[in-house]
Amino acid sequence: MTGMRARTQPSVAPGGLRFGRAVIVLACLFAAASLSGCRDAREIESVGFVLGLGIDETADGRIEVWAQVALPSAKPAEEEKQQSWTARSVGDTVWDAVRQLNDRSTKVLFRAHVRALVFGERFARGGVARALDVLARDGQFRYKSWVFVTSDPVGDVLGVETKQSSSAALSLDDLMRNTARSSTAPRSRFLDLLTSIEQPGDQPLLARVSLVGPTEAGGQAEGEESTAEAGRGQGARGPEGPEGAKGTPDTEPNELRVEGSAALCGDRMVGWLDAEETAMALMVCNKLPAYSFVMPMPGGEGGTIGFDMIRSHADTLFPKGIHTGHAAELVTEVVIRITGTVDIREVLSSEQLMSMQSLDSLQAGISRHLEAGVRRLVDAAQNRLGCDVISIGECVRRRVPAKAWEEDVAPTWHDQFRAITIVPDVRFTVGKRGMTMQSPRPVH
Amino acid sequence: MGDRPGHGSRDEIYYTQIVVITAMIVFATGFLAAARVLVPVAGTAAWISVLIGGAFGLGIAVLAGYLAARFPDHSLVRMAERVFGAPLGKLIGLTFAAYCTVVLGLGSRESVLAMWIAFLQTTPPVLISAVFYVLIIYAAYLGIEAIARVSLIFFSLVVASLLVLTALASPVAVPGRLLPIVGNGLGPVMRAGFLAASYAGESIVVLAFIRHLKDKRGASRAMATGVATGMAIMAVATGFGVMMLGVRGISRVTFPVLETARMVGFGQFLERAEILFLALWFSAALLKLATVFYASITSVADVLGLRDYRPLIIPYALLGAALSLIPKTVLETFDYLNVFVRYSVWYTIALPVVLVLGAVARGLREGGDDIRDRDAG
Repeated sequence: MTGMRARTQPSVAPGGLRFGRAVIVLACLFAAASLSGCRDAREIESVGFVLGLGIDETADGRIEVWAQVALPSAKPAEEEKQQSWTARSVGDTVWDAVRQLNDRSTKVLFRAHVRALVFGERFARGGVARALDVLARDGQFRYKSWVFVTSDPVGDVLGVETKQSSSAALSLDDLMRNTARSSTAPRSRFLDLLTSIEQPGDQPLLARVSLVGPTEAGGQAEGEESTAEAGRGQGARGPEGPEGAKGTPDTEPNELRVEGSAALCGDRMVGWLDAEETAMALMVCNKLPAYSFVMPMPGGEGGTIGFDMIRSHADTLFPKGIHTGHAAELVTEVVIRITGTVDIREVLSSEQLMSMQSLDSLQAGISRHLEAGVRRLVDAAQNRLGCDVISIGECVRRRVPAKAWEEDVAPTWHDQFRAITIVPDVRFTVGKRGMTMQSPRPVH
Repeated sequence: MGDRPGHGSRDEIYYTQIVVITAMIVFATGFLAAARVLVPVAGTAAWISVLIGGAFGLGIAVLAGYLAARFPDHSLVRMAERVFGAPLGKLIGLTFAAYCTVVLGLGSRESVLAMWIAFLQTTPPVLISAVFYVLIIYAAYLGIEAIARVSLIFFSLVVASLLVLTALASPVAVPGRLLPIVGNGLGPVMRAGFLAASYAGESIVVLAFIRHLKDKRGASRAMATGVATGMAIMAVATGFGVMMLGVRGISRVTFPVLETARMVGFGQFLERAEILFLALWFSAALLKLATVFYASITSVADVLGLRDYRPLIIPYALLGAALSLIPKTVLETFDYLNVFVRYSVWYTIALPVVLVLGAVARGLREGGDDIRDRDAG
């Protein structure tokens, strides 16, 4: 009975009910007018969608920031209009420069659609953490944005007008999605950068973007160089990358190339890895989805043979164990065992691999070739860069107590890493050989 | 002393609804920031500490279910009055109402901050809080049966959203980041487990309205299932947080689950989909807070001997909203949360233990009423 009273509220008068309903209706109308967001709404034309951000350091230590903003056309008649606008500002910090950009822009800069974040080499060598704080705090910024480092002027990189995309940032986005097929550059996202700089045993590799001329970009001018490069990975052009350390192309640049990587130690860039070294690093870290390469045909027949790597798996082994409690000699020897399969894509040789013996010889040759690549990478990591870009430390971290890692190992890991004996052990097999068993040849 | 008939006594809730309500109470607000509290203590094993906390919670749920079976028609305050007499029982009831009020204040503050910092940056938090409380008031006015029914609908959606998020997060997650499996060691993991138990312990809020459960024999099982479900969700959220952000990343960010949601997307055609998840999660948080609010005001009404709790709704909502605004900054809010997580677990364990021990000592037999009460009725 009492419960019924509680539910039905019989004491409320009809007049009171009517008044209550009127109040609710008025409240709803007021809420609809005041909470719907119309009061301070922004039209889409007044929003500047930032597609690319560039950050570099001037010679006098100030911070330069570029923002590439999309200028969407409202109607087809405006198709000829400029599709993006790149603005530059200079400040004492990244935020100071961004703030000035905001002040100068006629549109509200909206950073939720940033596709590419490009660091200049000078800024990267000085420490990218200076940019990470402001971007990590920003609720708009996308964690899945691609991160690049360039040795070319950042403004020129973002200013490239490509025929394939409406802006350089979108072009970079497309290129990064496509590099997965060849893996000559790491798929470095902002998220990866954030998580890896905090782990001394898992140092970041950031994709390198370069300006190239139309002939270089099209791969037409390689000619003799290609022959000389037989035995190297796709696009490999020496340790300092496509154009050497300075990275200045001879012809007028109008294309972008994503190839190779910048190696960071903590948040500071310590050097470049070329395309082949980058691929080897990704293979050692089990982050290599695909890779194609050409090598001389093993044996004395001459010619070359081309492959697609379709599968690889790396195990990091510690044959002498990990000795906790003696931080100085925690790890003395590491074996990187890599197994995988390659498909034959091209045979330009009189050797047509029609016997089991020749196939065994080929497999041994592939393994030796890739092992040599890994050795070059290890040498670069330990001596040239002095930084664990092959995630040995991460493997150690997973095997030792967290406290031992944090207190004893992590602070001195880079020094320990340089002294470790790292032995690659690569074993590859040949998988498919395509739709023909032998090369089609004219009868002489 | 029999139970006085009172507020919403015609409301009926069922086994599944208790499971869902318990699960929501356990995870709906806590999982936004639980990883940030647990990971610094347990390291990579934070997800295991959540499961350990869940084991504590199961114990609490079993005791609570035992009380429900022993006093089938009693709210918590009535149980306490029956076991310890009116004055002490009312005092225990007041402590329970105070506990619920703190859960309400901190929970609403945490949810409001998550919305404010991540999305509604130009909206005053007071306004977001006001909208929250208007909805809570409406839910409380409708009663626990309505809250339970709506919870059942939203819980399915929330679980579906979490499954989708898990599937989308898998490519980004690095399972190796969960190693070493014991994290910072067994001691710290147990300590973190005790902290996690405070989230599971929030399930004692259900004692305020467990009498509405149609079949009391399933009370223990329903609450235990709810606690297990809620803590499993929290463990998955914590584990994926560590896999995606790493130990240092988790310890650094404001709301780990929001960061996790920011990192996933449906390919290229639907980026920044976290708002879709968050809309559902905040619905779950809202229903949890409405449940806790209902538990608070019905307990206060019991203590004051009111037949109907509804006159208390508006004043109590004002009190709750005011309490939720006490922490002025995010840092202050998290300080309060840390203190709450550290110490509230003792209360959530002590309350059912004391009531069960009291009931056993007093020889109050199963069924709640002794022969003298039944004759008097």
